[in-house]
Amino acid sequence: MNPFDVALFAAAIRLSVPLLLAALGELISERGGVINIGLEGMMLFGAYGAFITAWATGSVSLGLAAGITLGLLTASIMALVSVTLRGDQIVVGVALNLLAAGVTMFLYRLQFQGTQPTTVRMEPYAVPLLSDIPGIGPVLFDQLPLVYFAYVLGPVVAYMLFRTRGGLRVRSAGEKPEVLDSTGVNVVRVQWSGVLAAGGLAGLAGAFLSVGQVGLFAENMTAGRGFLALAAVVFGQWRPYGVVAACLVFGFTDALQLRLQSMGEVPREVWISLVVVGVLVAAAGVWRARRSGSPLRWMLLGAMLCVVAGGLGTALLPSFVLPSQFWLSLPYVLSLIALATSARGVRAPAMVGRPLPSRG
Amino acid sequence: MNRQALRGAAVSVLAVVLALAASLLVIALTGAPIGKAAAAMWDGVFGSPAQFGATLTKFVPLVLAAIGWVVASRAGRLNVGLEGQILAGGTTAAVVGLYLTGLPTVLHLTIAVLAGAVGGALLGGVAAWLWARRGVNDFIATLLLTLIMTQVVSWLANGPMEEPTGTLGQSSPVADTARWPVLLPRTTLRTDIIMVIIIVLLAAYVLRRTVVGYRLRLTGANADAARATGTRTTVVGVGALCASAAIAGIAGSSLVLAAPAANLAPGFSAGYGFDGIVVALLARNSPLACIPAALLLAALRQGGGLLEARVGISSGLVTATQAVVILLVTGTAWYAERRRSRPRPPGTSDVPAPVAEGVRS
Amino acid sequence: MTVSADTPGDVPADGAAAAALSVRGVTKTYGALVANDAVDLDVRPGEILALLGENGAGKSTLVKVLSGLVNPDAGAVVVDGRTLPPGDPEAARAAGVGVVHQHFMLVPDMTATENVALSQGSRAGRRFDAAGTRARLLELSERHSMPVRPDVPVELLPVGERQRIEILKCLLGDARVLLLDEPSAVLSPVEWDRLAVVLEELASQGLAIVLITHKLGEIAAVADRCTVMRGGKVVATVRVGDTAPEELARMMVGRDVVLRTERPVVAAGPVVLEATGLTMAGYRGDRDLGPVDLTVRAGEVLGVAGVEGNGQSELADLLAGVRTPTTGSVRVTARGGGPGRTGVIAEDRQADGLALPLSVSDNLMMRVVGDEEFSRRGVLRQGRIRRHCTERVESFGVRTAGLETPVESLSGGNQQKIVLARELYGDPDLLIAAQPTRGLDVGAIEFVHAQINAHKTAGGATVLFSAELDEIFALSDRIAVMSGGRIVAVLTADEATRDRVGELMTAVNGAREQVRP
Repeated sequence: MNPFDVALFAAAIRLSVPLLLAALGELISERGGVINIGLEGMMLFGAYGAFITAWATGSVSLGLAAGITLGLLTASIMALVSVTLRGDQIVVGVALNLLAAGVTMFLYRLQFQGTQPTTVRMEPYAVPLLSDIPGIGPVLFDQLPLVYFAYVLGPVVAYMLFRTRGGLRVRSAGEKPEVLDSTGVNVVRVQWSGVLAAGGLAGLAGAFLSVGQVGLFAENMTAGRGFLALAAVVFGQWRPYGVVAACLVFGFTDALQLRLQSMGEVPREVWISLVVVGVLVAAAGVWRARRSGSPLRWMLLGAMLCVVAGGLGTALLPSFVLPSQFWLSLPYVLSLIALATSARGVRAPAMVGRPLPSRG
Repeated sequence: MNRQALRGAAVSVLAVVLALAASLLVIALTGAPIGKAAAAMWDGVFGSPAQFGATLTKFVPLVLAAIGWVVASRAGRLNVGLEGQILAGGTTAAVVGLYLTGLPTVLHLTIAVLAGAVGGALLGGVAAWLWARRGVNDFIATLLLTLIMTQVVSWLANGPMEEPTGTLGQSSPVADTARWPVLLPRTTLRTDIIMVIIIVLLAAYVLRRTVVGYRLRLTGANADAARATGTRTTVVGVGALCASAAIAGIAGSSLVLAAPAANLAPGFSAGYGFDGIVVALLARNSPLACIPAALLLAALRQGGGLLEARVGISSGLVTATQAVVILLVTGTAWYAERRRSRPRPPGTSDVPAPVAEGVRS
Repeated sequence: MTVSADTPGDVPADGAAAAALSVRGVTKTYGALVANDAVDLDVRPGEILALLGENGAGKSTLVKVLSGLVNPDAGAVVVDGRTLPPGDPEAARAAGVGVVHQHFMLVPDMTATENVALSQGSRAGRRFDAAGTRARLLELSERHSMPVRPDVPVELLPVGERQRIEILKCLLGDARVLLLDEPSAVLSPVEWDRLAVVLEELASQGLAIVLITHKLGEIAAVADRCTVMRGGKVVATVRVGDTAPEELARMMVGRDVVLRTERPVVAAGPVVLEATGLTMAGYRGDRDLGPVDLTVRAGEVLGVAGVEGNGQSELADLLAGVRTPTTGSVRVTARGGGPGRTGVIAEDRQADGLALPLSVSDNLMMRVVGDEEFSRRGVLRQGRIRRHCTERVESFGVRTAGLETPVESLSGGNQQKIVLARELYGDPDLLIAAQPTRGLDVGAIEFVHAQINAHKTAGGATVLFSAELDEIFALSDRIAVMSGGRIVAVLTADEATRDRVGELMTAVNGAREQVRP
């Protein structure tokens, strides 16, 4: 049975959307020099705020707005403590994750006493004409409205970062804040806006999880997606389109994982595609090594492993079962490998994790 | 104790008091009787020997994780992945406890605990290698490895190491010979707490009184100057990360070998790694101050449980209280760490003067 | 002796040109340190004013006040008759004050175009016109013959080109007053000559230029007038054509006799330092160091002179063993045979020489903590350490409240004394002293010089790197001149004259500017 059908790709896209929203916001924040370990917490707050508002008002859009608002509020705490008061970014992020887990659990249990009510949720919107295209139509254009928003967000963020004055300022704040300072721009304000962008989008991502997809809330329903979004920024090497690609890859592995779990075995098609991926990775590696002189060894080794595993799987083990945990950890493994093998030019923005210097 | 340390301690205490007051206020707002809630908290921590034992049981991994954080951050490294190293250490300890049977208790337990340390150190070592050789941020590497380790433990507990019936999603208990003996009868407290106190004292001693501790401090304060004067800073950084991870690994081993179930179950680290950062922060990176700070957080964790059972206040409130404590402490770091550093007028420095206040330590 | 404090008014204004930039009574104190003391200064359109002063004279503080980065305690900055709001960089820039800082204000991973756009402030809307900015940049760069590449990230560009970008950035911001902070520090002589031509041309078009420097030669070459600062005060403003360089020097230093410590004569002993064929590839992104050969004997001070950025810092690091050479070797032999010990006074003591947050005693122990004397089986011997540190602090006259005081709360002179007390402990065979008196006051400078001479008298070998020729001449038995990453000559103290050394420093140059492929 071939697992690669329309439903799989549709699911991959749906699963990548919350990652895209959160990761693109986090990209802005990190480009501005603030790493936001609290992304998970911001998403959770967003999910809760959206749910509770939609539950009280019966309105999806009010729910989404509430999700964004809660994300922004959480981000304000992050910015206040880590940017204005120059506290440790990492530690504040850890605190926000605890805060979100604690507060949402407390309030949810207080209000619903162990029951799990459902509420309204967003309806898919089939784009006229486009959704009728055979093949990709239903995959791409019969989705929740937020999905379309996520499509355009990547180019928008790329444009903002590289083609607007505000984007230049954000990038400058993350690389060399004293330059901004010397031109009279308030660096603290620039970093605040980066963190707020991350918070608002993370809140929206959380809202997508609760009100967008299922119309209910569950304790810790973000289930590590905030960390996944963090990994996507790393895997995407701090570039907008890289982050989009990373989110798509992560969404796809998640969808495939869910599908394979329901199938109980790994069909031959998966093994074959593994070979294809290996070949593609090797080709990309050679191409990249030619251009920028990045180390080739590791990439080739990975590609060879893919090809060998895929070949063996195709020939010998058509029904071998891979545990779901393998797929769930794959994004993090990929991110680490990407970091460890990347060329020297690719690194986190210089100010990530460091407080702003005070002005002499 | 100098003025600065005093100010730091005052800020920590004030943060805790404020956060607790805030959560009491929240409890009052929910309409629950404050007195009953406070009594539930008190009973949860001190109400019976069993409760008190349980508090001390939670103290063990908390204080170890905190010491792990302190060791790494002395050298300027951020080991955000203590949680993953706890998982790794617990896993290796469980493997030894389950499969290396037929040994006398002392030997089996010792090997299992050491295996925990090694397991933690291995995971920390991967991060250290990525940091030292590949230039990966230490906090990104340790965090990603934690997320991977979570899945690995989940897989092991549901797969290769699952108990024979294959339905519970966790391993069988480790052999009795690999379990810590009970310290207080009819409580969960086991003798590992003695080892833990020794580790804390040892860490305090090493950091304060040895060449290794000096080099960690020096590297954390200025790696360039340290390197220029003969300290091998990369070795120090790698060593600090590995030692930090090994201590977290021991915490993991205790969570398996001293737990009532004494087995490997998904998520057995229960956030202790992250809470350890809170403890270290409250203790302002002083190993000895980690003891009261960890006791406090353990009491909150333990008391929070009874709060939920008796008054219906979710333990989420306790988690949130911890978060507020961190935010208050982090947000005021600039105040607590402020030093009186005024440049002196030129021309005074060339007047030789003996050390004014003489020597004190 | 002191020069009477002339006011800027002593020099009659040419014609009646109003000042483009006036500074009136600017005072700025940091704690007890008065960095600027009622400073007055005027620049007129079309003139180049040199601001002359030693390190620590208050020039940098004044630049920060002018550019709005620092809020002065008193006084005002007036541009074209309007008083600037204090501490507002945006207002200063908008009024037409352009500053080329010594440490460039460029974002390394952005292109020249992006950096220019970033500096344009908020006046041109949200979106920035990349094509337009690029075109204007190129047009201006052509007009002033300052070639720059607009699309390469600036971190890949050579220093000279980065400086040109900085200047163009100011011009594109419609600067009418251009401040350049030590522009020659990063340039080869040829590059500097080219820049001087550009500056004169800009001035002839009506720009007011302030050139901040401590090099007399540059002033004679381009400046019309010169304002001299010392100890935070303006001591005089003079016309350059009417004033002999010696006179300027006297006003800058504040005494007739330039540092003339009596140089002890010590019979040179056996060879202590032997460096052969030292090279280091790409020491400054695109330039190579060496090959360098050096020998220094016991009881000898070798001074290394050169324009900053010609490889002295890197050679010092190689000799100190902080960096590894690409090829070649450094051998340090003890006077009695066997491997010798090296003491190092790091060029940037706060970055490489001290751990500022740690205590005086921790900072004194860096090198020796692992010795048998101070630790046994890895355990510190507290009592001995305390005695050792007390002795060091006392014999070097470090002024500190106690051994546990963090070093960051000490003055610069006392910090340097801690470095000396540590590095000179146990009579090292070789002392590498890189800019040992940078930023110190006169008393501390004399102390450092006395220590270097004492080290020499005790039979130690010394390599002294200094940007201050006076210091080199005062202390050295032999003088090596560096240029373009090589040692171009080694002279004995008797052969070396100021002119000869100056000539050698600028003879061969390191102007091999290209981006590495």
